[in-house]
Amino acid sequence: MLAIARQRMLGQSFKKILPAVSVLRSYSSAAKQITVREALNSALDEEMSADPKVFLMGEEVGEYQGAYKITKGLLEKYGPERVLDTPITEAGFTGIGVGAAYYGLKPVVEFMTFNFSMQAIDHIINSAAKSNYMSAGQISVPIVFRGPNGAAAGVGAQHSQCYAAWYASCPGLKVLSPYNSEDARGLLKAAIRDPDPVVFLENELLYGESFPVSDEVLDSSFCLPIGKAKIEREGKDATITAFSKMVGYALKVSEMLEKDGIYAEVINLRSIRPLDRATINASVRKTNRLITVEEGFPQHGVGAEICASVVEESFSYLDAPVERIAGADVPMPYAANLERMAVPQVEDIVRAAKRACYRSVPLAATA
Amino acid sequence: MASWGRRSSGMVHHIKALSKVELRGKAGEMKGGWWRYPVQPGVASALVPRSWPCVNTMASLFLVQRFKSSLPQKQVEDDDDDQDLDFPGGKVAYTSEMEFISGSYDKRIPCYRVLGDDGELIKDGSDFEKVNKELAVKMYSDMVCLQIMDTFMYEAQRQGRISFYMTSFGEEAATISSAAALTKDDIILPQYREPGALLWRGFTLQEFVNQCFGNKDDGGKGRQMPIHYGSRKHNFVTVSSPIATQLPQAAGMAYSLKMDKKDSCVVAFIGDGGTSEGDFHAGLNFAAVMEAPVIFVCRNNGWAISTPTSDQFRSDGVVVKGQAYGIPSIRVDGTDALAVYGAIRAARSMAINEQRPVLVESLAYRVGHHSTSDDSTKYRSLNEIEHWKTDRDPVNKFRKWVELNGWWSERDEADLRSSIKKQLLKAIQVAEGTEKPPLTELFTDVYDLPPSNLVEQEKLLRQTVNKYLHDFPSDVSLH
Repeated sequence: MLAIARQRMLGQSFKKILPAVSVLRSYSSAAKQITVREALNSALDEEMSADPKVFLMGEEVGEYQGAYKITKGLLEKYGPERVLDTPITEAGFTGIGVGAAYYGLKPVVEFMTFNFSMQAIDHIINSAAKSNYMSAGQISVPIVFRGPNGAAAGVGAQHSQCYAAWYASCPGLKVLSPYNSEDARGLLKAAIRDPDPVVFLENELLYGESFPVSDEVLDSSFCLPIGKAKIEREGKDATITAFSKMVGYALKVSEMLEKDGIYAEVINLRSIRPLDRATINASVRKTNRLITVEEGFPQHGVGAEICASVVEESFSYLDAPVERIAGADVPMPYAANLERMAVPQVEDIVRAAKRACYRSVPLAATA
Repeated sequence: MASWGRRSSGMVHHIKALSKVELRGKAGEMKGGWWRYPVQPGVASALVPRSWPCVNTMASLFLVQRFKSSLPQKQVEDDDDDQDLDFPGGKVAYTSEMEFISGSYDKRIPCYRVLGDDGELIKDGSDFEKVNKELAVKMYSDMVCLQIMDTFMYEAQRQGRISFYMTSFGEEAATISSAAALTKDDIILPQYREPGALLWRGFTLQEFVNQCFGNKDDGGKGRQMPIHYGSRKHNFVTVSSPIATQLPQAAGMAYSLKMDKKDSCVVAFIGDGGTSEGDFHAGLNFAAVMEAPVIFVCRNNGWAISTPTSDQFRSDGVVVKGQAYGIPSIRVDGTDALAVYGAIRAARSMAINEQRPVLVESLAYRVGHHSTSDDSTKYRSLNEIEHWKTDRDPVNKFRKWVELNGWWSERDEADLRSSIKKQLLKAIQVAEGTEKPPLTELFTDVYDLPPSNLVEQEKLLRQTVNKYLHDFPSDVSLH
């Protein structure tokens, strides 16, 4: 029943994202299209094939082929020693994964959603993130924590929180969040190869989205650098930063703004920690206006950090106050109409961009 | 009295027999409440009565105990129509008798020991794992060394020279004998009261003291508070403050060892209090399911800071919890160096040869305070503490046994103690006078490679310190 409701919602947001996908100018000329799901699956497959130390753990990752089918076919290919179905204890299997990583294996731990990672957050922070430092370099933790993050559709407060800001505030962790298939492949491969613990924040609604990919992306050695943002669309009038699903929204917004003569530059952050401050600041120095977009809660969010960075480094370049678009400061409601009001919509971002450009807009309700 | 000379693997065999029977669900022959179990070859197979006044082997007691509490005899006799319930997880016999497994216990799991309080072998005791002179003397010397180090370092904290310390008084045998029974390839995941194990493996007094002072020679680069030792070289994973997190980590590490088919195991320590943590359940359950070679050693010392075990759990201690996970378990006298040595040797053999977890509950009273931040006289009686400190001291007990064998003398004692004291005083003096770690170590090891923001920040910080030298303490070394 939930699945049907979800599909309907998916259909709605799909409509919003689809036009953005047609903006091909920042993609290399591509013939093939793959879904984010296929991108993640192929990345896992290739990394497991290349390095026998890589193994998967999580609830339903094996026999069930993955709660969201991301790990489809991997149990069959690599066997139960490398694809472990775990009992229901996030704290337990996260601790086990960390222990295995201490010894030298490279676990990829899946959380059914990052909301459940809170039951394991002590292991993520105190056992994984801080270990290299606390042990003076004797214990490294080459582990990847991955799973869907942020709002899905109609799943309520305990299934919809965005954890980008929480994890990104902790030194010792790296935090990545892909948008399209190219991001998904390149960043997941980079995360698995990285010797530090990485939190990999996916998005449930993007799993089924198709994006064009070049041959280079499909090559098994393809890898994206951690800590580098991507300018999805160049512009000169305003900078819009976003990650994950909001990148699609930002691209749609940039199309809509073009009609009003505002050419927005869209930055796909890709990496929340380390944050690519250089790219963001360079862009703001060019456009002089900044709009940050995220789905998570506004206070102490990713946008707050970006804003601080820009104010510290490029203050004199700003021609307008920074506009922060974030989710509503309430636990996510379930009812469809309320849920719609609790997450950023394309119109909210358009209004914010116009405000930054001194266009008069009707005052929107602000948090 | 001379039975200690006979080399025997009786202990191992008993536990093995126990575990085999348990695992394959063999109820054996139940006739009128008697239980038959296999014993070591050469000894006639014994029928063990339900009431067992003079049976002296742990295995049989445990076995009978288990069946007694779950009343399987009745089950077998009252089998319902010879039908079994075919259910996920295995067949289960039906019964028409409604019977609850008792939550309480008539008789507690007994505690395995080799030495009496007087340091002499138990008369008519069973064979134990033999310890030669060299091993015994090293075990004893290390126990004395630990005691003296704890005494001095506790004092140092009281004098304000270090910020914090935790002693192992009363538990010297529990940790040192455990380490003695392992090889250097076995990986130890401590809780925080196991410096004895690290000492056994060769961590020097200077290294211990350097860590407590957090100076530049500290292997931990001054990153952690005192007693949070760690040494990759000694296969001793760095102490981590959150309780019980090392248990699922141990299962994970053991799984890795299993995949590598190594001839070694993981040993994870936990206190009585730590068994209440969710990670205890996850760690033991997982280790059993994954069939990982890990020994869980629970140092039940009676107290979790001020919480007595009666407020911690209502089970018969920790040993019975193992069975709930399908893990063979034993209760051992933690003040008896030989008993601990033997139990851990047997556990190690089982863990590695059978690739499965084992649980060892060691009972040894916590004589000292929880830490330097605690005054345990506030919640327990001085008499109780004094009794365990003097009458039940594990170091004295073992000393008596070593002396009885003619391996130790008064002269050796005096020499050892004065030597350790001298080394320790020197170590403390040196550590105190050594510089603190250089500024660079503030920024290294956050990640594998230093990130650009930290590189920048370090450069900026150095500039600032150089410019405003007077604003910064003199022990901030810029080298």
